[in-house]
This record gives sequence, C-alpha cells and structure tokens, in this order.
Amino acid sequence: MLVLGIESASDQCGCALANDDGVVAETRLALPRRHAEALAPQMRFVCEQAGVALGDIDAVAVDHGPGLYTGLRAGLATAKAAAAALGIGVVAVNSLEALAFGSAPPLESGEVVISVLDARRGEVFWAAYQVCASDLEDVIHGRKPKHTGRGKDPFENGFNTRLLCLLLPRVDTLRGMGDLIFDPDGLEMYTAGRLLFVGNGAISSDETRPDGLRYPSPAAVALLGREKALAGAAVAPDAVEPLYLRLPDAQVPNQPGSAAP
Amino acid sequence: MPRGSDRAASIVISVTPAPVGAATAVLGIETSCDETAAAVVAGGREVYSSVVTSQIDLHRAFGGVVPEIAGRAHLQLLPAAVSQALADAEIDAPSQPPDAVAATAGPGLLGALVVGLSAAKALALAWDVPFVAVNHLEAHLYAAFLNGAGQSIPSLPMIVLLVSGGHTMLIEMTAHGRYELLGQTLDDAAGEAYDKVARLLGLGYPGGPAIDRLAAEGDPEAVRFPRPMLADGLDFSFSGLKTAVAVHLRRHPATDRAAQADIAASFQRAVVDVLATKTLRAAEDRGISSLCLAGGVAANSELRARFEALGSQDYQVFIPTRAMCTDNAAMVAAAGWHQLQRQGASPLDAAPNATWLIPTT
Repeated sequence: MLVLGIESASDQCGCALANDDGVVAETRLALPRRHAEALAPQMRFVCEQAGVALGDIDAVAVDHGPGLYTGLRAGLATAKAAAAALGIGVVAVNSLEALAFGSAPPLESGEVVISVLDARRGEVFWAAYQVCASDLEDVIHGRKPKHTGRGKDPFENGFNTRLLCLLLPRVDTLRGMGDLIFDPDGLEMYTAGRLLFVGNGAISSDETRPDGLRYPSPAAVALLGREKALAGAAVAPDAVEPLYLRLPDAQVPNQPGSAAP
Repeated sequence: MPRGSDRAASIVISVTPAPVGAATAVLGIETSCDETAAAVVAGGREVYSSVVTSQIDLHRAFGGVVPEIAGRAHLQLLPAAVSQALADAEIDAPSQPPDAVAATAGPGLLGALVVGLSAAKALALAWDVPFVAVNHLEAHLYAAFLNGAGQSIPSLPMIVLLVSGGHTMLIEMTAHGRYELLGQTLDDAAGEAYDKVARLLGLGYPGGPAIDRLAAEGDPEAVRFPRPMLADGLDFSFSGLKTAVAVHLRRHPATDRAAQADIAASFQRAVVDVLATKTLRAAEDRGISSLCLAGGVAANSELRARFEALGSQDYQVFIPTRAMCTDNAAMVAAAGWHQLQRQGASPLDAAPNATWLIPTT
C-alpha cells in the first residue's frame, strides 16, 4: 500500500511517501506561512523522485491537527481535494500522535512520550503516549493516549484551560505555560519508565526535543497514516474533519443603538 | 554543477499546452471572503454550472466577516461546492476531469484564500491539468463576459466601475489582461459605507441588500446628503457621507420605518450620483463609450437602473446578472480561461496574496 503523507499543521509543511518498505521519499520546508505555496510542488516532487504517479497512491494521510489553523487547513484542503480527484480515501492523523510516533531513539516498553505543541496565546496542545512493547510493530500500535490534564481525556476538555506545566522534576517547565496542571494520580503511572518530551511546546532539557522533533514529520504522518489505513481507517475525503480544539476568536458586537452615538 | 541542481531543475516540467478554445472547460474556485464557490465555465463565457454557498448566516451575529470563521467554513463547504459544480456541469471526474482549474489567489482574507488555492492546486495536480492563479478584482471584470441574460460580449476598451465591500475603483480595461486604474476610493469602499449606514439604521449585516430594499420605500430627495468629491477628479471618498448620515440621525432620529426608508433612499441616491457621475467623467476623459459594472454593489437596484438608463444614450452598457456581480466562481473560471489563453498556466507554487492589486500595465 502506497500512502502520501501531508504535514502542514505547524510552521512547516512537507510530504512523504510510504510503502511496504517504509518511507521512500520525504520533503519538508521549515519556513512559516508557506503552506499554500509549497505543498503542491512538494507533492509533485516526491512522486517524481520516487518514480510513482499520483494515480498510484492508495490513500492520503494528513495531519488534521491540533496545530496552526491556517496551516492545517491548507493540508486538509490539499489532502481532501487530491483524494477526491484521485478517487481514494483519506486518513486523519493526530499531530501529537505523529510527533510521538516519530520520536527517536526507539523506546522501550513502558516508556512514555509526551508530545507538546505550541498552541500560541500561552497554551499548548499536548498528549502522552506510552510504549506498550519493545517490538517496533507493537510500539506503533501500542502508543495510546495516556492522557493527563485533570484526569480527563485531553481531547474532551478542548485544551481550553491554561494547561500545563509541572510534569516532573526531570523536566523543569514547558515553555510559556504558566502553572502546570497535571493530575498527580495520573503521574504515578509514568514514573517507572523514562519520559521523553517532544515538540516545540516542550522546553529543551537533557533528553527532550532532539533536533527534528519540534514538529511532526511528514514521514511520521505517512507511516502512521499507512498503519491506520491498513487497519481500515481510511475514509471518504468529505468525512475528514479538522481538529481545532478551540473555538474561533470572535466577539459579538454591541447591538446597534445600544452604543453611544 | 552540483548534482542537487540537476534534481531541482527536473521539477520544472515542460508540458506542451493543449490549445485553449471555446470548448475548454475551466473549474473555478473562489474562497477569498465569505462566499464558498465553485463553477465550471467553458470558453471563458459559457456557464455550465455555478455553485455559491454563502456564509452570511455564520457571520451575521458578528456584524461582519470573521476571518477565522470564514476559513473554517470554506474548508467545510468547499468539497461539496466543487462536487456540485462538477455534477451540474455533467463532468465525470476523475475519468473526464475539467481542462484546467482556476482559483482566486487574492486579494482577500489570507486564511480564506489558502483553502481554495490549496484545493485548486491539488485538483490540478491530481487531474494533471493546468492550474491558474486568478486575481479576484480581475475576475469581477470578467463577470460581464459571461453569457448571462443573453448579453453581448463587452467591446474593449471599456470603463469599468468596480464597486464592492472592499473596493471602489474606476478601471479602464484596454484589452484582455490590460488594465489602467483611473481612480479609487481614498477611504471607505462604497459597500463599506452601505454596511456602516445599515448599522446606523439598525438594519444588520450585510447592509447593501437591506438598504436597497428599504430605499425602495423611501424618498431619495428627503435628505440632501453630501456628494463627496463630486466635482473633483476620478477618486472617491465615502467616509464623510457615512458621517453625514450619523450626524443627521443624531439630530433627527429615524423613529419609524418611513423615516428610515427616506434616509436609506437619500443615502443611496448620494452614492449612486457620485458613482455614476465619476464613471461618465472617466468615459468622457478617455473618449470611451463602453461602460461596465462589476462587484457586489453592482447588484444594487438603483445603480443598475442608472447604468441601464445610460445605455439608451450614447453608451454601450454591460451589466452582469446580479448573481454574477456578487462573489462567485464563474467569474474566476472566466478570468482563468482568458489568462490561460493569454499567458498559460500559473506555477504550482503561486502564493496567496491578501493585498494583490489588479495587475495594471
């Protein structure tokens, strides 16, 4: 199965192709606000270099967030249109999961990866994943959200609260987040293994944020998307929704007449 | 030469372009503001389909277009608009895709433009057809070239009055793709003045259609509002007119519908007087007898009537149908077709440009 991965829900944008042998081509432009320009040329480039036609692709995997709104919309608009035009399905990949999935070095069973992405306005998007087996294949399937955040599923509370920072003595703070809210009971399950922090929302520390793990990689989106597609997660392009986790900023103005003239 | 540059060069593919003719069907995509639109137009004229999904209901409570809400809505609404436009045009993609894909690349809201532009590029790439990045203002001019209401094709050169919520311009279109900006607003656009006066009258958003409807019941001579810069050149100014309405309302509150209708009608008369006078001045200055209306405010009843009346004089007047005056994708497809014929496809890395001016020569 050949999967095109699209990652643009951050300040970067890129594409990757993954088949039975793994990632065969990957491009990434780490410049902000270039999504609408640079994504389509990269799609063409990876296909040409890998010697495949777009028509050979079996599914499109796309980072649907959480992330930067305009970027993730460029990625989703591209993925949905390409898939619709090719008559194939789309797999939505969570940015935090892709970030954890792409974390190196290979992790041991029980180890935890915490993905933290800068959500701006003093907030972050975050999720924790635990490695369930040492075998890579199993690791892939075993990284489940082991969430944190006031004992609730972080995707349920919408990340609206000023989440963050406390974590462990091993990691001082997460950048720009003020008080960390972290369920102490939930913490216990992590203390046994090593913790790895990844993402541009995590402050650099001894074992956090190796280079290249500031954002999800296009390769991780392609590989994880391919895993999901093999598990039957590809859906019709129209069925894929963005994961904003935040309502738009907009205020209803005063009613006419109520304001002083 | 480093190996890398050979590689880089290989991404520029030279494709022998298919001839662009009357049968060339272009899929147009428009997402620059608060309309999500897709259309298929052949030969830059024959409208096979035109789908416009308005987001007005989403923005009304906020009294204007909220960029983030618009961006989200475009992503949600565009796929269905494209499918519908293709289905209405009886185009069976992917087996028989349209011949090209054109999208608005600016001016407009960046977060909104990105959606349509990204989708258009992906469609063009997947179908292996040319992609065309279209200027939204230029697209408005091409509304007059669509085959609505059995109109004849506008004769060039012509003077175009382009009036919308964001722009008020007098443009000389000398030939396809050749424009000269003769005058424009120095402050508010005409449509903006409509929105602001509508707010003063408590008519809600969008203001244009609301004032147009109410004005029909009122006396346009009831209040003599100023005609800003009427005697003076080809530029416009509407901010003072809006203030004059506000001042008038403070002194004479419009307490009933009749009073409101008089103000709406008087305001509209002032706007139309200015727009028509300046358009005629431009035509006389340039010795051009072909006149054209474009943009959302061109859907206004009184403005249309005034221009239609000019047609019985010495002018040839081209007025698009109302549906083609407000934002739509058929005009984008038509402009895209002309651009494709004139200068070929746009590069796939064409950037969205929120402040793109109309390309002048």
